[in-house]
Amino acid sequence: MAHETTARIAQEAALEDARWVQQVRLGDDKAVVALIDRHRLRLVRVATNILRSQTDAEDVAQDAFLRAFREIKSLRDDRAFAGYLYRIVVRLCMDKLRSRRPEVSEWDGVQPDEGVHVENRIVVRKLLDQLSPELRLTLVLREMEQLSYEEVADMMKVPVGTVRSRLHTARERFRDLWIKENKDAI
Amino acid sequence: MPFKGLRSKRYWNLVRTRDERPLTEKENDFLLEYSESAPSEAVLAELESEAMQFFREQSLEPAPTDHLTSVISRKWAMERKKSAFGYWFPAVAGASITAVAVLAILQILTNAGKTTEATWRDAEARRMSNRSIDFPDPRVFSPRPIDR
Repeated sequence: MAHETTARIAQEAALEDARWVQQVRLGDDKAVVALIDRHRLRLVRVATNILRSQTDAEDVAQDAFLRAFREIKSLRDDRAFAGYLYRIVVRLCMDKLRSRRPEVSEWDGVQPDEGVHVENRIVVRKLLDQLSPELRLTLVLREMEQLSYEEVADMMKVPVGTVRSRLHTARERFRDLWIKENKDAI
Repeated sequence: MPFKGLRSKRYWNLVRTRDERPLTEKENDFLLEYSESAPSEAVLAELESEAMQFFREQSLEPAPTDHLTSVISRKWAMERKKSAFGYWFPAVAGASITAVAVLAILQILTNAGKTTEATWRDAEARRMSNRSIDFPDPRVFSPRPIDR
């Protein structure tokens, strides 16, 4: 029942996206704003969790929207706009991770009164930085974004079997790094 | 144990599957049994579960900056103008060049029809005044008489 409701909501969202996409094709600026507003929250959240930096995530989101609008004319199925957009974000995040220098590990969203939370975030970023971009993306999309294997596979354009094996490796590596990081406490 | 490797693989598969779906009674029994027979792997599985729990808790919920929408839509509007200019520019430039060329050809053709007597008479050499012409004496320049 819950699954059916989720599917229905997703279908309705896709239909609404399709309507806005058609308007964007006709040059409607309001439709552009509507599409950005519909997806920016989730897009920035996904990118922030992957990159662990909100500034980088917003840059990626901007770039992703512009690329999606540029290619909107060649989109085969207007209902697939969201999936298309998220695939662009994942690809851009991957590029960003590959081009990032390993020594850069500042956290730009720190609030002074966050204490332990900030420490944990820095730990997570430090551990994630030690994973390859592919493993990192798979782990974040599956564990933080709670996407299904099929959705992760679709976003990363790899077979579901690859997602499973990458996730297996990523969990093991993360666990080992986490144990190493907390060996005093364990 | 000859099948330890296979049993270990099954154990880890089940450990990871239990986050995705409820395990059957048989699977749970296997997990318990294997945990007792290989406590070191059970500890690792427990730590992995804790690590993943910790990881999930660190999920961020950022609030995008307010001006993000306006920045993107402004950039998109600019890009569209640029691409429209890029699209029409070659056509406009081509049309302008063609127009200039056609005008030039028309001009030349029109002027070519106007080459009347008056125009070519102007092109003749003329004397500056009516003074008598003082031709130099050839003998001054060549001392020998000219052999006629």
